[in-house]
Amino acid sequence: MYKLIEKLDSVIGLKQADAHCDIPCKIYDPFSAQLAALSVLRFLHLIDELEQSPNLSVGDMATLSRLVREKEIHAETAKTEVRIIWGDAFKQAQIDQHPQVSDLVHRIMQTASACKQKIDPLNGEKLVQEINEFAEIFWKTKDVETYVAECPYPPSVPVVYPKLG
Amino acid sequence: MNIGLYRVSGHSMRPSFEDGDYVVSWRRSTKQSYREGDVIVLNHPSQGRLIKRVQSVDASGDYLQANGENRMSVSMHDLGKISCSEIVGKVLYRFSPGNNSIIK
Repeated sequence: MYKLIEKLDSVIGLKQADAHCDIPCKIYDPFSAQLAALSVLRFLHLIDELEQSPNLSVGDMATLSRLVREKEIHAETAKTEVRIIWGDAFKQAQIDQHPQVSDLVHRIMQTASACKQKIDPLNGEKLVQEINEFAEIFWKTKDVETYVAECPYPPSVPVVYPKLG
Repeated sequence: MNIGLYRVSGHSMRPSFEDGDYVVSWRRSTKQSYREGDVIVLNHPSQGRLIKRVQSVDASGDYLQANGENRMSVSMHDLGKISCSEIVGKVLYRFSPGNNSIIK
């Protein structure tokens, strides 16, 4: 019976009930969310470039299809990573210290969904910016200073980094 | 839908449930409350869909507290009070490689 369900799972992909994300491993870093947001923005730029082209070849359409798929996957990853930090790492004390964080997280969820629904690069820029704000708050809760620098790769936009060492 | 089939992911329910097990859940009617010791699947507002064991139920039967089976699990305090409306269902059956069991 187990084998049968396993087979069914591999075909239709059953929903998961988590017994794992709640290990209190204390390993949290908003950069995974920032990286996902940067990827979304990059994909939106590449989609925008394709949009400027008067005729799309089959190869272009295949690229477009991959870009859209990856954009949606990375937007969902950004949501998941932010949710994990906000839901697990932030306790009442951190929320009391930074009461704006819950509203910010809600805005990030909405912006990431807009990135999935549409192809406007402005939504991607907004997502990067909001997740930067989130990263800054997160590092403040760890008493780690941050600085802003342009990421040394496309989409070459300002990113909040922790000042370590 | 009242019935659900889920894949367990992770180790916080060991030894009762292993990573990769499948479980069948059944949503109880509002008249039937959940009881201490029940294993439930729930949609936690910040932590997503979880599988946990009920540790206590308040007098009204509307809220309960639950946690995992071992020290790797998040504490009841961190999970907070769980509203019965967040519960997807009680786990009735477990499918493991080589060991299927009814969950009481």
